[in-house]
Amino acid sequence: MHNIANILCYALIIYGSSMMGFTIARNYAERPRQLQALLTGVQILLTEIVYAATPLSEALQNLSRSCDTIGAFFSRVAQEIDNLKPARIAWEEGLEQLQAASALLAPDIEALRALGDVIGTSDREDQQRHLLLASRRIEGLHQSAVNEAAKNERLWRYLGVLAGIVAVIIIF
Amino acid sequence: MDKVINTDWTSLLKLFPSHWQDSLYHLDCLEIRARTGKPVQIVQSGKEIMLPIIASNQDIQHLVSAFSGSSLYAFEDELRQGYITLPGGHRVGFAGKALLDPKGHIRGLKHISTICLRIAKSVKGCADRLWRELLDAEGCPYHTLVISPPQAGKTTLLRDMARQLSDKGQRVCIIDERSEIAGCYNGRPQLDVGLRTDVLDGCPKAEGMLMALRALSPDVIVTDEIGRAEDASAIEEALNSGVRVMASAHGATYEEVAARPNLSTLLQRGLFQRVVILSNRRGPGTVEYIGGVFSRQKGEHHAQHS
Repeated sequence: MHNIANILCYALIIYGSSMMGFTIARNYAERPRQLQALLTGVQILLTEIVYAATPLSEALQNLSRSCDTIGAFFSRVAQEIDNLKPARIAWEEGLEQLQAASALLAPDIEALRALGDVIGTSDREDQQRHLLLASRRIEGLHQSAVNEAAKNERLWRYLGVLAGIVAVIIIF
Repeated sequence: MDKVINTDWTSLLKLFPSHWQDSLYHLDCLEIRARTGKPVQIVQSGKEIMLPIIASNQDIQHLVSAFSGSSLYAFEDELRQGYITLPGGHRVGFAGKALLDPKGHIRGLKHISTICLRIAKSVKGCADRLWRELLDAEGCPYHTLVISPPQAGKTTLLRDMARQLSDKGQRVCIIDERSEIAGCYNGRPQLDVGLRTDVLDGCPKAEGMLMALRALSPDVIVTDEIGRAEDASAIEEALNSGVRVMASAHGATYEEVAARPNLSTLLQRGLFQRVVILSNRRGPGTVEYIGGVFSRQKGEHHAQHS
């Protein structure tokens, strides 16, 4: 009876620590994907704003169909703008939620925040400059996120399982 | 002001910073002017109020953002003119630092520091009293020129004339270069201009008149603030193709208008058959004179609404 409880306990430790490893690994894998979605989003936004002069809320609403977490962010900002909230505030509030819900890190959010301060507040030429800058920043972040994912994703997946096993061995 | 239509005051109010809304709610405003660092100025008919609110830079940015739907870039053409039109036909004028292109033309504005909101009010029926003088035996309007100083109601009068003619069965075309007559937003008239009215919004008057003649076969063309050389030739073109023209010009007196080079040719050649002169003497829309161009006598009527 005592043995069975022990085995169960060990299994739980291994399960828990592998899950932790998997979660961290998944975040490493998710971040490049979400950054890619953001990059596409910002590039579409650039086209919509610079070439079609589409009103911001409509442009963001069009983007919201694209991707889950990122799409939800764009859609939320669009809704708030429709509710007559200034874009800067709507964007800022959207970012807070995005940070909590996504695998994005502080520098990613910071790049978006810089864009939020100026979006919709100037003429097309100026908007183009800011959107290009933002898309370049996100592109850089995406590249480094891909590299980090390649290095760390598998590492964490194994590390979780192994750490569990090591812990069990030590206790045993 | 019994016939003033102003249904969307509450929805307009939502665009303002929340701490302004309470002070503005009960006011009957013609204009609201906000300047960075200065108290908010309200213009009512005949008087002005300074609200005990100092407009901060943030408030102004809030207003710019709210008026443009956070999409200032979508209003570049409008900003070049210095104003945008809101849903409801209200006009927002801006002042700030002008951006120039290499040729020295205004490309737009930045660092906007002043906002001037003119609230659009239709005064339905303000043209009622004038028809006796303005219609011929067949019920078609004469070629009419409305002369008035700013804020004395010439656009309001033109709008009501367009609406009534249109509802009476004439095909009316409004060439609305400054989006004042019909107050178009996204190309749709926000003010009642009648059943049979087509509006060429934001369209230069001369080109617009010719475009209307070609494409819309109107009975009456209505346009605001004529005065350029090409306007005069376009009006002649319209007159010669059997279309009635109702137009307005800036000026306090007939003599003032007749002294302007392009208008004087039109007037001297008798192309306009009727002249209406408005003033602000007894409130906006006071009719100082109505009648033919040459048989001028001092007559005084008073428009119904004032």
